[in-house]
Amino acid sequence: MLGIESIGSYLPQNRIDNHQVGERWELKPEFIDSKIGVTERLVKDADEETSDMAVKAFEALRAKTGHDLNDIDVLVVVTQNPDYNIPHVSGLVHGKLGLPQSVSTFDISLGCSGFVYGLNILIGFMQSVGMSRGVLITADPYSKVIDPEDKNTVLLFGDAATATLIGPDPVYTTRGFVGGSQGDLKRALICENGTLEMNGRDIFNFAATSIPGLVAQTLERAELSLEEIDAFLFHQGSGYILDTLARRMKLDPTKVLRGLAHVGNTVSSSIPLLLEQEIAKECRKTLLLCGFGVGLSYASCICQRKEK
Amino acid sequence: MTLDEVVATIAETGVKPDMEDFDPEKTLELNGIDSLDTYTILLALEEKSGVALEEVDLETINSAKALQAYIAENAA
Repeated sequence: MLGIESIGSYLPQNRIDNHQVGERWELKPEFIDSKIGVTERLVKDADEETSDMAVKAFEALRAKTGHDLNDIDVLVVVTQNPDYNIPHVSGLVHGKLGLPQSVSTFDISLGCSGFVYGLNILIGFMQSVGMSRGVLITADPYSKVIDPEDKNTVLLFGDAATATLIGPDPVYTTRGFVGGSQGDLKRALICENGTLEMNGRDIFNFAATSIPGLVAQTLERAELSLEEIDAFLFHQGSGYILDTLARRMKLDPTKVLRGLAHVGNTVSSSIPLLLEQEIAKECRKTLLLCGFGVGLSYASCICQRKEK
Repeated sequence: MTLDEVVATIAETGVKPDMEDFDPEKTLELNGIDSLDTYTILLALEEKSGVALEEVDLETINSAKALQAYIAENAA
């Protein structure tokens, strides 16, 4: 059975101090830390492209696995901030890594739900066509489209990339996938003319009202109870959204993982960055992954540690 | 929804632990409630009243009293 074998990541070195940025709007440090939940954000170099970040995540995965990974069958990149409109980023990554011609490449255009969709799309695709190893990359640097004067977005988003190896000897397998959409005609989160705009209240309402039902459906599909979940890996939208979800679903807050304080909301990379840490923890048997955001799109699934 | 029910709903959200000094005529901000907690309050009021508050202009309708009046005006 195919599943997640390993995850590598790339975190840019540049750190932006949100306390300093927040002074512009007289925001208190405690509001930034506890409500926004992002004390500092990672930002890529100005000349660093999405494909460069993807390559670095792939190289981190190579280093972690100890294999060159030239034998993979497929390479997928999840992004909505590509190097160019045409061609697809995964093709550029393929070229920069010098992978064999036999490797299939395609991109998936999704934001914060992208990792959960990507994981299930890739595993399903590989199983249906008889592939055995593939890599799923997330790289969606919002710094490309953030207006530095926009308080709603500039304090929130960070840049990062991850690379997940899918193969026949997994640590985690997936099940119980549930996805859905609430087609965003209200422009809750939109990038027009190269600038991101976000209606925080619409995004908050979407998450607060949609995600509890999604989690319940996922648990039902996987025949699990809330208590059987060792950790909830929600998209790291903001500290406030994570607190709201925990409160509305009456979850044990210690099971709701947080990883945005020193990184930011890294869009489709936020869940795999958390998952990368969980892989090493043998006690984490059953995880619930849940991505939600731009689209408006959501997706959730269970990751089950494979018994040895 | 009465004003008392609006205030009770705000209290139930837990965004303001000390409700004794809450003034329904003052803006939520002057009552020490920040913009994110205001989202929670609006959602709670929507869910309790059944009145959509997404079009509420928070620049003008920003106190418990003003919200109660809006809900009363827009209730079916």
